[in-house]
Amino acid sequence: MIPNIDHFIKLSFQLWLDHYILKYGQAYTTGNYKLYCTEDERLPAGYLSYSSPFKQWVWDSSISGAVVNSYIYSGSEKIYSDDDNVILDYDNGRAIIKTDNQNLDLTADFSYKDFNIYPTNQTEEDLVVQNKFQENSRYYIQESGIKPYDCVTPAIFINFEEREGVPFALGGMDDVKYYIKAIIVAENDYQLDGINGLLGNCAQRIFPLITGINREDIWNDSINSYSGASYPFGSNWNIVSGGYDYNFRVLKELNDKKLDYCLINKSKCSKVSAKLRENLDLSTYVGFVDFEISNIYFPRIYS
Amino acid sequence: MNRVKLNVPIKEFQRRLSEKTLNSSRGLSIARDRASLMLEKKVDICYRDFLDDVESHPISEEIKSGPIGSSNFVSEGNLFSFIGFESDEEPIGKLIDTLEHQKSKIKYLRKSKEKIFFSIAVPDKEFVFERTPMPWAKGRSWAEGIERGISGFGHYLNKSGAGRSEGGIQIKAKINKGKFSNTPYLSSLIKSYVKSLKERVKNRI
Repeated sequence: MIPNIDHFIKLSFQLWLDHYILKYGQAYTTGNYKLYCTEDERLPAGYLSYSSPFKQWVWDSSISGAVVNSYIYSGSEKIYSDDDNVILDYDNGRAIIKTDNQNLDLTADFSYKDFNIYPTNQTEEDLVVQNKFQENSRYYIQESGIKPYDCVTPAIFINFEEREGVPFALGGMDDVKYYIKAIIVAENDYQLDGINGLLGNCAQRIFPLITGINREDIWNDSINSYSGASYPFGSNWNIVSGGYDYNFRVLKELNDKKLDYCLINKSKCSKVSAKLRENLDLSTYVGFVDFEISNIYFPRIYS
Repeated sequence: MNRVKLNVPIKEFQRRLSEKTLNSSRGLSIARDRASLMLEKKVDICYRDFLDDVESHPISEEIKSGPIGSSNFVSEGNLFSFIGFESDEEPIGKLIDTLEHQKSKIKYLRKSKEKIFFSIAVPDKEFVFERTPMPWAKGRSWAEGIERGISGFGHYLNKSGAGRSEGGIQIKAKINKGKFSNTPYLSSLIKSYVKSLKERVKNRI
């Protein structure tokens, strides 16, 4: 299926949210961390996974102060991720290395996000009650690599729940509203208040609609060969060649005269009550942000 | 609060006030007061009907029935327990109380040759949603949830025994019970109220 405007809106919102939290909340931490050899059966033969203690490294090079890494250290030697021998997997916070040696002494400089962001289709109850996510604390460093693929907390889960087209103008123009729920799972009240405050202030902001994103192209691609710049990642959550700069990408869209915006009509924050926390026996702090996003266009011409 | 514009034709007063009086400032004041009084009566009737509609809506009826009783909206338990109200809470009573204090106020706008224009403040859905907090997350509204969907957290709020030890296991076993289907509620009642008020004024009922 070719991507349509709903795909663009979902991915654009996710990219914008990530950029917004990092830029305005400075929600990242930078340091030099050891990489540990971890099991990953999904990797092709001949590759090993060396994971850091944190998931979701910052990949947006427009965030000033954050280190967007493109190399790792073996001792004091720098190894760049510019070929198939070393692939940096930003989502899982690791390096995929073409080697059989499980005892490499590797370190990396990088910034990791204070809140991981995951799109989800699960209901709030399923996320909060059923799934006991592994906690990936932002306050202490574990002495092992974090397992790839599973979601870890602190995190924001984004659920695109509902859309509704309301007639807006003659000629078939609709105001299409998207209702998005963000479920925040934080380590403590301070983190939750911080992110609630940040996301609560999103109301009446606009975010750019980045078009031309086609996830299928990425999935069909071979390891580390995708170089499209619409979406930050290749097939192994490796960053696109040349890096990914959110502001530059938006500017490119503007130069191509394709730039369109979506408006965040409302963003309402709430926290799970203490009583419910107690009844659910939650060790995490849970909050919700309900977004209403509006995009005005001609749906019957577009699709 | 939303403001709805209404107008009253001047000819309604022409039989009782001469054209000269009507065009004088005293005449305008008389006509305005009479029109305002007339509108107030119509608003009163419509608002009473609106409050009755809210109170007798199937959703309200089910919530009013308290934690015990069957449901037409959730597959297990009923709406009261599904949302998670405390057993002694009266959410519909509170809602009606809030709405009663918001009875539409009439404001004179202007007069033309043929009509006198007024605006009245009517409660909009945002006003209601802000005043109907969800028991397990105060920033959310249960009234909005009725229309947009509600998470099943309320189910776990008043469970005795769900707590520290083994609470997680009990809870896991109960998940996915009591699914709720979204239903039009206050938004549509407010719309019908505004529509009936406009019709009543227009048709001089």
